[in-house]
Amino acid sequence: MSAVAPATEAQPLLELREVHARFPSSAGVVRALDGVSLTVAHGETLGLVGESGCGKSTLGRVALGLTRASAGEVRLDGIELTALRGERLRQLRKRMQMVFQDPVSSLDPRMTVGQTIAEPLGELGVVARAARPARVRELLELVGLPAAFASRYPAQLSGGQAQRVAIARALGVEPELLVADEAVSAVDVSVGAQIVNLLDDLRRELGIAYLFVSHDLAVVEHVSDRLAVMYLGTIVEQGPAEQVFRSPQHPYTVALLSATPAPDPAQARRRERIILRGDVPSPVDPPSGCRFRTRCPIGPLAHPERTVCAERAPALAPTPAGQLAACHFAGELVAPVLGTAALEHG
Amino acid sequence: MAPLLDVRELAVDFDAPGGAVHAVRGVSFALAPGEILGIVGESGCGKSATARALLRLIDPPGRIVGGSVLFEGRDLLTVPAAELRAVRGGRIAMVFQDPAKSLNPVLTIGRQLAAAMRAHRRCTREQARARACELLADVGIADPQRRVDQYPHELSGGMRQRVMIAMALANEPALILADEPTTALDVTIQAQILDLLRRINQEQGTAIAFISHNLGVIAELCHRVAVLYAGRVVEMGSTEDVFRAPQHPYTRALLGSLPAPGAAARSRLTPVAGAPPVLTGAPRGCAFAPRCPRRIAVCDEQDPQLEPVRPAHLAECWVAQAEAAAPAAGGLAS
Amino acid sequence: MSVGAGSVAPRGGWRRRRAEALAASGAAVGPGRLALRRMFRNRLSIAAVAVLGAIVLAVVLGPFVWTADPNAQHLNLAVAGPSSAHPLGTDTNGRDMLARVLAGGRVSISISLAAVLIAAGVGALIGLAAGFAGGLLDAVAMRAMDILLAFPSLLLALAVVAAAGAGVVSITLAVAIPNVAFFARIMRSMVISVRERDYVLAARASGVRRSRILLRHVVPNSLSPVIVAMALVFGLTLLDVAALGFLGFGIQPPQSEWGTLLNDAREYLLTSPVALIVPGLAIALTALAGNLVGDALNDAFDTGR
Repeated sequence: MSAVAPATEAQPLLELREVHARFPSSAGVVRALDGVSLTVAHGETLGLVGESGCGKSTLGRVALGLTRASAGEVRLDGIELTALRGERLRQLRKRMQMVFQDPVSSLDPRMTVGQTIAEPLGELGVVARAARPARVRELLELVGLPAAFASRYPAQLSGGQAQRVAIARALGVEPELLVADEAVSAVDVSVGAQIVNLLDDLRRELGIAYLFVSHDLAVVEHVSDRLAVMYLGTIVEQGPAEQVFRSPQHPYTVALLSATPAPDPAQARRRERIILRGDVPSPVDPPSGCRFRTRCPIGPLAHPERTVCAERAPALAPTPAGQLAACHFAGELVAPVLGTAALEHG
Repeated sequence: MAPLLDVRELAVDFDAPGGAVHAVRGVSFALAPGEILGIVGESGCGKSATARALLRLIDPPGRIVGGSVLFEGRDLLTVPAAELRAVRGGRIAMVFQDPAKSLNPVLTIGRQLAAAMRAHRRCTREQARARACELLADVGIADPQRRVDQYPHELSGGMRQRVMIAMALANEPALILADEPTTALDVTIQAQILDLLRRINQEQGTAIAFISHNLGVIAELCHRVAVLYAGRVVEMGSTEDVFRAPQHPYTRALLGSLPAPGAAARSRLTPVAGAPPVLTGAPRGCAFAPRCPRRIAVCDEQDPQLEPVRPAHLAECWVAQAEAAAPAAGGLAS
Repeated sequence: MSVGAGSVAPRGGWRRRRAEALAASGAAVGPGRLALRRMFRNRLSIAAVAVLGAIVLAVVLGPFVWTADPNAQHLNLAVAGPSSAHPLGTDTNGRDMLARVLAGGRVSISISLAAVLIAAGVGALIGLAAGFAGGLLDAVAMRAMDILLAFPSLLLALAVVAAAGAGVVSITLAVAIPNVAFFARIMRSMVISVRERDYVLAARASGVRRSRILLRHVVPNSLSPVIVAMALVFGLTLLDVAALGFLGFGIQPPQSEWGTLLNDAREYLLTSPVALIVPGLAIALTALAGNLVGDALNDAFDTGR
């Protein structure tokens, strides 16, 4: 459970229970999400991290009802999304919004910035037509763009500016939950930092909860209260961000942290790297039992007697360190991680 | 020791209606044999244009408008085409960002490797195939005999990039130019590829020019680093020096934008405000001045040059140079 | 199989910086106007548009300026060369060629234009419905289009004219119908591609209604290839209309169009080539101009999607 969840809010803002998402493909049925459960409390930022094919983007879309879950429950403030259709689901969008990875392509090239931001205001009946231009100006100011930008077209915006416009559009309806799907991955480092600062400011001013999906561990750790690590459609570790970062329990998290390059040459030379072998298995035919066993540095590859890894899929269970991890041998693999080294010469 | 690659005042323009865009405005750096040099910068700084210009791979509307690229005693910008072809893929090999786009989807891996070899030497098909299997094994691809007959789509992203590296190694180059080779790969796969490049550098002594926007990767892999901004090198030195004690305000801002792992949670990142300039016309003064927190009067008027501010550590900044010249006197106040 | 998509190198480079700088200087131009500007920068495009424009203007206004009666026969002046009274000479029946070409042009061009508009309109609607809805509707619509495409266009046109007679309406429909499938396919593939774009998903996520997504996002962004196709099909349709006329299935006298003019002059090729050459040239020139305009539009729309 999150250490920062206000004691008074018993009901989480977003709750996923045993969600499965399966898609047909030419190679077979892709099991993008296989029994995922998580919660996001009001005003909390949950970071979702993993590599390609882990299902984190699908999770973001299922959370918003953009993609239908094949099984399981998705609840927004207690309201069951999977039972809603059409108009009722659409109206719920006032409370949850999304920002996408590629900022420029998430804006219609034929509409001006002002039109794009005003569109949800009209469609969801949040702001009357006469009041919309003023609201658009307000929103542009909120995201740090000059009011004159309202007449620009997406092709005339930089990546950072386009992302701010996308954020302004999402904020117009005053949502309680914002899913940021790789929101800073496709922009430059310094622009990404500006966006992260912006999201942080907005969180403080408006109390928005974030589901922050990213492959970049450093960014995710910086913004999140809690962190969930995904691998091949399942959550393998979940807990308070700093804790997961400082003492990861699942071998995949350890490997991921080890592989993330840190902009510190001294540490880079000193650090023992754990390099995983091979590639991620296909989500059409994941390994039996624990999905990570085909690449795990402490699994059957290294210890052939550990047959339990192939026989039984480990459940997400509490570990002595505090957070949840899905591993039969949680906490066994330890490597010097970024946090501790940074403290040493900080 | 004479440098392997000596680039001097390289300049590249791109013609566009409304005036030429000066993407590279006098870039100079040198690469020693067996060294890994990182070239880092954000988008639009000219790093990709620089990389391509080294092998004269600039297509219209781009043109190389000045400078020299001295490699093994010859200026690659002026050698005849036949000689340049021998260098490309032979003495200098290139690895690009997206392996999916750089490999021909209708040819098997083996044939593409063989083509890379045959372009520079004579060998029979059997010899080419044997060498291809050798190369695949060298880059860590398991079961090379089977893989050599597969098509690119049958391989994962990480494996495709390994194949690209194998192609680069086919003719035992002295230098590998890698343009964002791991940007499109997952973190754990990236770690594998960086490990591979490190091994190649250590075992075969191949020099690498590694272009990237990812500071972490540069810190992991490179011996020395050159920071590019608005078409010029603004700082250059050993990786340790540049990361530990950045001299140029832009480098400092760049490092400040990175979330430091383990730092106090939710501490504010300190990126630099604004955006890089458009490079048309003739800018006066330092290109970074409009965004620089340490700007002084001379910055707007005169273009600083790349000068040493510490041993083997150069920076192109009036303030940094002044401070280096008179540190005890406090230098010019910022 | 993981297709390694760790991070994406940020878009940037000198092109985007220039676009930003231009925008900063106050020139906020939408993609539509930008395409038009691009088109008029190319000399060939300007020429093609000018030629097509001149031809259309000529046939529309011509009969008011050159008031000679296209059907008046002056048998004493049969097959005369160009003269001040008859700038393009006369045909075998002494009728003024210039007047005939202008009158015929009106008919040819208006039939072609109408046919293109009908084919594009109907075809685009079918393609839109099929592409956006998918499923059974898509399957049924596309099979119907496949059947339509199975017939050679001219034979189909002939069949329609044979069945419905050779009036203006039936000829227009006859040349329009075979092209419906073409437009439907183009529109459908654009719609399918646009449907998957990020901004459509973003619109859904923002709470935009499906109907508005269709009208405001999908349709405007799918139209460019359809517009290009219209220009190209115009030329082809003109040729089809002329072919019908040439084969004797076109407009019946006293109305004439370029194809029927060709037909009339067929027998006298060796004795009075003028009567054959002039309408033939008119057809060729107009079709060519139409194609070039289509090419120009294609280039104009192509950059910066």
